[in-house]
Amino acid sequence: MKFVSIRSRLIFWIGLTVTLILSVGSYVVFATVRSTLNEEIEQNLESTLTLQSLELEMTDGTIYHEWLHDIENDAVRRKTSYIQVWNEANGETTRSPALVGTDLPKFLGSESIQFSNVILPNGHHGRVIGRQVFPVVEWTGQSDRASHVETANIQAHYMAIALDVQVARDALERLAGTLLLGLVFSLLISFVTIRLIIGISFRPLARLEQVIVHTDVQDPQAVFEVPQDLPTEVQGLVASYQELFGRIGQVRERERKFSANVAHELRTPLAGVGATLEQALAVEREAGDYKQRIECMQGIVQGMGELINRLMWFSRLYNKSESVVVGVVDLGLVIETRLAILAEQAAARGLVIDGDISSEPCVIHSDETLIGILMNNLIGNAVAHSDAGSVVRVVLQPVAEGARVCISNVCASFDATELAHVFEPFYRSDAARSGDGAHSGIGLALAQEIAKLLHVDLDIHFSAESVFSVEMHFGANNLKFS
Amino acid sequence: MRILVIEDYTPLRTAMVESLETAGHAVDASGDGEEGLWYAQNHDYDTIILDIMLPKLNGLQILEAIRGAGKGVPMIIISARDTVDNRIEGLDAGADDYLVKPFALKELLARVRAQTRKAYGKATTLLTVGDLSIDLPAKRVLRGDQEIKLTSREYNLLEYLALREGEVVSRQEIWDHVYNYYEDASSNAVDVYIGYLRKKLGSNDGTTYIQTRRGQGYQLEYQTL
Repeated sequence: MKFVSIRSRLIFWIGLTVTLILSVGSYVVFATVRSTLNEEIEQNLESTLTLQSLELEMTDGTIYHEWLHDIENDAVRRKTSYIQVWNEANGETTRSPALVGTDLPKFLGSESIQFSNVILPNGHHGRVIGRQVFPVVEWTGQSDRASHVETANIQAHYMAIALDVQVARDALERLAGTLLLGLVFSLLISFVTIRLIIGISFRPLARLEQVIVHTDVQDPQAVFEVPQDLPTEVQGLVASYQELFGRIGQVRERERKFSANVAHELRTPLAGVGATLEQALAVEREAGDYKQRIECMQGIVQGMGELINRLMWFSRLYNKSESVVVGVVDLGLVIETRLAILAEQAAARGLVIDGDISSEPCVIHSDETLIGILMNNLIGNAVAHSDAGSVVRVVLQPVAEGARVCISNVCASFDATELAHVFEPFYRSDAARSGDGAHSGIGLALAQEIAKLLHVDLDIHFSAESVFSVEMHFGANNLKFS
Repeated sequence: MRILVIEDYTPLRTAMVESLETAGHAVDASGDGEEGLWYAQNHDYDTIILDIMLPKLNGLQILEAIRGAGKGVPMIIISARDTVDNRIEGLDAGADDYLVKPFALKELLARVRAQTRKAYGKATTLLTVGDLSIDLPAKRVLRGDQEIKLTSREYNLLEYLALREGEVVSRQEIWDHVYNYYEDASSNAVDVYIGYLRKKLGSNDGTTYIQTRRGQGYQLEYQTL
């Protein structure tokens, strides 16, 4: 039997066990008492039969029923003694008065036979014992007893004695009733007690439920308070719940920080748009002046658009909701395309792009769009933060089972202690801060998420010569998708 | 009034500087914390407006350095960080006001006026010297009920003297608080504008407002002959 409720399961199985134990116990008690009583009665009957059989006498060939004589002279026994004797030779039968002409059961044979359920003339239940008996031979002559017995014609008789066991039977019935009643009462008490114990045991769980229900998951400071009297059996579960709540809290905190950072990143350019617009409209201006301000706002809005685009990608990757579309990606082509796009920006900063792209095809199985974003962020980062007039080096080499890409640039103002933080979302080193707001601190974090998703090994280094380098290995893992 | 703006986001900084200058303030601006702190430590400003997230030195570090040096110059934080904790952190670090981005430039100007007024111990926005009254938000000057038309420079000069009414103000102080460093650098520029102002405030009843303290500077004080 399957139960969804623990309470029902416990009540059923404990109840069933208690029922079985009590039933078996009650039966054993009843059976023992009955057996003892029956044994007592049987011994009693056996003794009585033995004694009464001595009261069957034969004197000088004549049978005398002394037992009957004794009964008839005793007013009580006349009503309570049930004895019948059959002469097996001639079939004559002699009954005690209490039998009022009715017969007791009779079997032939020398062994004692018992009948346990006989209805007596008074309507009571009785037990009967019977066996073959021989009369006691008496003599009156001068011959010795032995020779007399040898010459006597001893006739076999069958004697049956019944005992009214109605009182014992009634007592047994009362005992059975009492035991049954006790069993039912015990079961009821057991069920109530079990239910009560289970109810008490479950109270801490109910309180725990209330704690869980009333725990404000919106509040990052909310504490999940576990009831002190929680059963040890569920403490493991509660610990797991606490851990889960902790993880939920961490996720919420991360989301909260992410939202706050997003808001922060968008507020400043929004303030720039608002202030530029307000200032543009503050006084009448020449058309050229308006144009200049509108262009300024356009630049801010484009920057915001790019930021939102990056945030969307980051959010999808961060929450594992971006699916990978696997295809054949020519890394050389992707890198050369990015270098061409960034050439103008690099030239404006006086940078020299040193592209060492292998002539051998470096083809991997990966997501072309994500690889494009990865390269765009890393090469774009190098172009944006490289010291003016320096060299940005991009190397692509085929290696065993894949390819290696290294992007390096010189950045004297970069603080090596910040190396550990550059992949943190929204982290910007001082060297990466610029007044145009083009860098939100999401680019490297986005690159790392893409690298994780595509199984690309990504490492960063900063040398004593102030060279910041990003190294990627598109290894065997990139073949997983193929 | 001389204002220092420390904000690394160029479009916002440009708009704020332009707006403050249009409102008649002399403005210095910096795009990073280190330079901003240098400005703050080496010049006398009426109000400093600063962002928190700045390159090299953040806004809170600048606040602590300035307050640590015992300077009581009013400081207004402008920040995208909008939580109560952020505001408390900024105000506890020594800021006098906290403005969350994005904000209206008009509101920024009003807060600058309020901080400046407070710094000079003026409770109201209407300053009176004799029968001369100066409406600070409207930038209007009345003598009795007759309006006196002043140029922007003349008004700024009068406003500064009015804020320091009764005090002797040196030419250097006037230069520092009213003029931009990049403009008219002639040595007698202050005297010339004081002369213009005197003429416009002059009356036929012999009352004067701007007194010359030889070798010390000027004092705005109502005097009748």
